[in-house]
Amino acid sequence: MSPTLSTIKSSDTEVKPAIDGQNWLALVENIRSGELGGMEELYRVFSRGVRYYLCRQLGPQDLDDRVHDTFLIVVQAIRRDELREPERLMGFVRTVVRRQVAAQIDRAVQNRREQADMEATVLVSDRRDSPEEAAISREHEKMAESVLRSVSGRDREILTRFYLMEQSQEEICEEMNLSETQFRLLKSRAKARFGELGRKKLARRRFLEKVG
Amino acid sequence: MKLDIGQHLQEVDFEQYSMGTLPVERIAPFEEHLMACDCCQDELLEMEAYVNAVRSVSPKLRPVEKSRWESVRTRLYGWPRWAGAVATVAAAMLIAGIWIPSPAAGPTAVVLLHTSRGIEGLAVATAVAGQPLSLEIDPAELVPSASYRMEIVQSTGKPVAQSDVAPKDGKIVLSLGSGLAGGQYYIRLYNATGELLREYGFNVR
Repeated sequence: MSPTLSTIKSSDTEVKPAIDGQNWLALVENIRSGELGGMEELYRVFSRGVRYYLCRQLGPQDLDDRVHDTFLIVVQAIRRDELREPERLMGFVRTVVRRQVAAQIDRAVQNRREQADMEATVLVSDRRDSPEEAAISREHEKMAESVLRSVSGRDREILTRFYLMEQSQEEICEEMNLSETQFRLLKSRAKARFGELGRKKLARRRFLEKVG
Repeated sequence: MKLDIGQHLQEVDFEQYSMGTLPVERIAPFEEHLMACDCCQDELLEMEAYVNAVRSVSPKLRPVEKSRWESVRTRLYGWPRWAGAVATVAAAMLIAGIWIPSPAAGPTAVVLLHTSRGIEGLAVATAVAGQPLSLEIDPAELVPSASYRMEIVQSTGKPVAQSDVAPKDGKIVLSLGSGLAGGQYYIRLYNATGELLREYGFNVR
């Protein structure tokens, strides 16, 4: 059975599809009629997003295969005319990717159960960050530390309450005597500073790569 | 062919999505746009790196909370002279074999479990061995249920703990008073009929 999509409704508002369906309709039509250009366009638009989502949920292992499988499912569904709302192609792709993720997690759980039953000395994959990932994490932490040290103790407390302790905006504003605007500005500035530091570091690294 | 993927997502959406607090009715439109928008993918990566980095760093920059034991010790200095006599009696009780329990192993660590995995800069949830834990899951994307079952297994699949938990204040919480020993764990969430809904990696140092 192919995944189908419906308009998402909240309790009191209807969330409209964020796109103009006409373009998507044409793309689906191209793929359905077997035009190579349509397939290329589909891949161009979604390959990074699908890769991104799968990597985010499942990690980088077998990523190329998973992306490939996802596109196969999408294209086959379109060609078999199973896409009931062609103008909602983005939603359809998302549904297929989510199902791929769920299936992969199920398989992983099943494998672990079976392996655990067989023997106690089964090999377990090392889930630690790779050296590159660890270095990136450390760099991000340094940048965040620099941002947090650059703001006042009170502002730091506000950011900590929000991001670490996950207190709500209302709760923080009330307890720390802040307006909603002040709260939003503080968060936005701190985040912008983090992005700025990241871009500076990246620019410096590119420069060193050029001269080195 | 120029495809219209709609307006770019907003900073507040990236933030809520990164923190697992984006309202459930906005997740689908958010992810649909994300699938087709390179620019917003980059924005989300940056936001996730930021949120994770702030979460890692901010505890280090907070004034250290005194443990109950330290608070008691500090107060002792402010007590009157007769406190010395009380201390002597307490010492005598100790010698007589009456045990005064030592304080618990520090404050409870709240661990928020997310399904994100494998992206640079993001880490699997971590905690310190032996520290009391409060493992929290946001049930926003789950089919609502009065009760769920949480199971903790070692990396070899050997169960360590399990408990039926009811969502409270918008969260599914499992408390472990004595924490966990160091190692890699998986935390599984099942619905009332035993169907596996989620699995989270969890590393105890």
